[in-house]
Amino acid sequence: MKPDDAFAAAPLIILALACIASLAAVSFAKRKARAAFAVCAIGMALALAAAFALSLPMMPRRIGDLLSMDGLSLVGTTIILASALAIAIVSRPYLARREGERGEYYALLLFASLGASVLAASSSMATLFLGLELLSVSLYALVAYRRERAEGGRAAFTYLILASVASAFLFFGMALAYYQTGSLELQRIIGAAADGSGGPLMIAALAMMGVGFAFKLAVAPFHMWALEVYEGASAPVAALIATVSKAAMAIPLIRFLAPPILATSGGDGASSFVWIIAILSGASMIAGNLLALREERVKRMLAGSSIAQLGYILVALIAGGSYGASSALFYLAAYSLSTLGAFACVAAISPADGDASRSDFRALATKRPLAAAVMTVSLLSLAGMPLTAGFMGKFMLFSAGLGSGGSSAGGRAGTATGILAILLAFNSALSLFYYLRLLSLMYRGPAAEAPEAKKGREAAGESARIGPSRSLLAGSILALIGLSILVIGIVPGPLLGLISSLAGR
Amino acid sequence: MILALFVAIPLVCAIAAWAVGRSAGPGHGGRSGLASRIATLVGSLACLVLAASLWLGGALPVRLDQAWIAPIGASFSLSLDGLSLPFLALSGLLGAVAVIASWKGIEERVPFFHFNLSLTLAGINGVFLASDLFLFAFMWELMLVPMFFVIDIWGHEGRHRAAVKFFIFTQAGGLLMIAAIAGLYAAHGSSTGEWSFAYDKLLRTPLSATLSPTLQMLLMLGFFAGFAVKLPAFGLHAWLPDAHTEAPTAGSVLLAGLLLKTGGYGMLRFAIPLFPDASRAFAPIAMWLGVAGILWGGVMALGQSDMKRLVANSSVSHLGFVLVGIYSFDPAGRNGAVIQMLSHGLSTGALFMLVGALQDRIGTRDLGRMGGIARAAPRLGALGLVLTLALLGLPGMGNFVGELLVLFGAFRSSAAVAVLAGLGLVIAMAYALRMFQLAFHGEAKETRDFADLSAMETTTLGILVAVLLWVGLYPRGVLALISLALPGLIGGMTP
Repeated sequence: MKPDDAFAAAPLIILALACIASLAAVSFAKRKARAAFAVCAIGMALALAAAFALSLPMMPRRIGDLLSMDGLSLVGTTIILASALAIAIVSRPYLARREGERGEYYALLLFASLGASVLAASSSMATLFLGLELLSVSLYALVAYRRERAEGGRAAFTYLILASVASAFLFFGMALAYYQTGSLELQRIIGAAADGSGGPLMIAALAMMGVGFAFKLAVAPFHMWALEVYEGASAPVAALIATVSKAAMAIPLIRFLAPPILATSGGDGASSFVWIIAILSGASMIAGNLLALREERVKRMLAGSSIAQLGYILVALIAGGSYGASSALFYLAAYSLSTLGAFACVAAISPADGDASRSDFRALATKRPLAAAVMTVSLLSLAGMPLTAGFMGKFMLFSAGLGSGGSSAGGRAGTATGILAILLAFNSALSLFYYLRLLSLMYRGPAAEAPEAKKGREAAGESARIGPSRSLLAGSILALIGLSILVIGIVPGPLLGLISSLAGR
Repeated sequence: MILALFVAIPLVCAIAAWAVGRSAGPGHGGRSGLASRIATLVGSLACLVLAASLWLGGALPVRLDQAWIAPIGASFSLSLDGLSLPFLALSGLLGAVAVIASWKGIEERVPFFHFNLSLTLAGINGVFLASDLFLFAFMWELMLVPMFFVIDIWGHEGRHRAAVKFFIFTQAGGLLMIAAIAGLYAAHGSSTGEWSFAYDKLLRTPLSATLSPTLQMLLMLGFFAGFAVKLPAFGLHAWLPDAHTEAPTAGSVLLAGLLLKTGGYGMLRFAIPLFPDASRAFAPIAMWLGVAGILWGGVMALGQSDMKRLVANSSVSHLGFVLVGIYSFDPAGRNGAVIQMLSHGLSTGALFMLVGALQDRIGTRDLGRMGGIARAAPRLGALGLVLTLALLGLPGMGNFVGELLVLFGAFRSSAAVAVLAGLGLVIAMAYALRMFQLAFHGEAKETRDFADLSAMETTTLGILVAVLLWVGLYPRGVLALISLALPGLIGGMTP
């Protein structure tokens, strides 16, 4: 490893060191939780800084056959680390009030974000699998983290079993691909698949790998776990699954799928790619929205919404090319930010004995103006309304999707994306229904409490459910998220320019 | 720079209205409420004065170009021509009317209400000014969210359902329009190599060389869908009666007076000039949709017992004339459509204010429980009569000029359309007079004690009626302005 390589991989190295330091903190420090939190926050912040200060000048750079540090990985790492950092900060008051704050939580967060960052930079099946497992195993533990709650254990078990099966599929697919091409390099495998030189075994290999990816992204028809797991996990961990884990899986997809689609669109190998992804995309939009539509519980509704959102992102993936890639990245960033905002609000307003339900959102605007404002902005951004980042994101998806139809590279990809664009329009309208239902609830007056219930509670001598937490740091993170959604929504130029210049590197 | 003010003033007022409320604490009513009312009122009047000064002294068109999102070629460019200006003036006027109409009726969360009102106005003004398609889509969607809140929080009994219905209908149309904008953008970019959303550039897209007629038609239909939901065209109008009826008075005024007009404006400004061939091929269908709207809206209005719902259904009928006029591809028809939109904005805005005032006083909108109001409240009765006459299109009112010109234009392109549309005028007589008779004449069904219109309400309604008369008696004033629209949108001035 040359020194330049070390600079390029600096964010990963720093994260790995922070992982070790956090374990040390958990073992030896006096105030374990506090020390581990400090290590976690500082480690992530340093890694984020290193990504831009040290890693960016070296880009693009391949480190052996294992990692490729390029613009895509940088965008991915930024989304991952920024989300993870925000989640760590939001988790503190959330856990402290539930007497569940232990240092291991932050160590696990660090491991998960290291795995995710490796995944985002992977250029070989070895690193891909390593990153994926590091991320998944940390997530199993995080989902089950609050042992006193039965739902957490159940959700973790569901996740463990299903994710292991998906990993097995992925692993088996990799083995087949390796057998066929004799290479672990993703670039060569995808190339072989796209020009059809791999034979039927290669198709089987890709299909199996596809299952693995689709499962982790919770893309229909591999989405059934999402609702259960989001519901069972605590709000910050659900946010982690919705943002960090999905961003980490989306980056390799963008990196390896976009070029072959553009290069050979119209060819047979590529067009079957296109149709498969198109079907997954359409199915996710519809399934996610229908699930969310029926859902009364807030976290499950957000799970359904994120299934649909991933379906939207796939539209840009099919479009391919650098425009498709930057659209997908921009949408990914907007989606992560908005989802983070929504879950952070859920975490902030949750009473101590569980996560916020619909009734906790009632009259939120008068009870907790800041949380209500951020939730409003986040939901509107997920719905793609202007003044928020989501609007620009949706516009990018439309122009990427229809752009490939209008350009000379059109052909069957054009037809597929054309249909998808119309599906996208109707699904976005459909999704409004459940976003608006929650929004409307936040601005209503408080519900009148049934007198008997009130009397009974007074008799039992308990005051209202223990109120939600208020922490200055978590509050300012909340405000920061809301503000960034608005700023990106009003002046999307700089971020868009940054992403498209990075996507080209 | 003056154009940016049309968007900036309502935006600043929105924030000001909210800020004074926040600083005043949770009490809301009283002084903080008053401050936010005044902020919004002043903002609207400032826009009105601005529009009037441009009307009297301006050299049109005025443009403003400001870089915005460079990577995709979207810019903050506004342009004001003879087509935009009357609508901007209308928006300033009706904005003020909306504030006055809710002076008494809205007592809860007054600052947030006016925040939403001002934000809607900012979006509407942006729609009438945008000359960049990305900016247009942005503004188009911007007006939805605050309007949703206005209906959802301050509306009547069925408000939640109506608000969601309104939002989903308009948003589905809006998204199809956005998809069409993206498609046009891609077609323009890939054929000319210049990626831009600028209106004048997209206008010169070599359509026939890049897109097949089917694709052109599809893109045109995307635009049409967005505008037709707003207008509303027959078949896409299901949201309108609910939204107009359940919205608070100010919401109804803005919905009927301005939001619907953005649909007609969008057709004239975007859907037709951007896709001339496809629009011409589609014109007969659009005109028949218009006729269907005229008749359906009229018949529905005939059977209503809820006064507000009656006015809402009459809007479907009146806006049908607009659709017919626009797609008649005839200068007279187009001029008529614009005049019809302006007069409908004035007369229906005033009618909704009147119905709101009535409901505030007697607590019902049910025609069966009214009667004898003209005797109990003479000012209310007199203004009610004038507005009823405007509703049925009496000569002298702007509505008459609009409808007549539309019929002229329609007759030239299809006599059958003109004849059936003319039938709508007869139905209008019937429902307008029925409404007036049931509400204002006869014996009072229930005894009530209520005050006549206040001086402020009378003045406001009086001003609206005066403008309506001015449009009706001297339409040349407006027609001269419309003729300053960019060439190709309307066509030459007609006798």
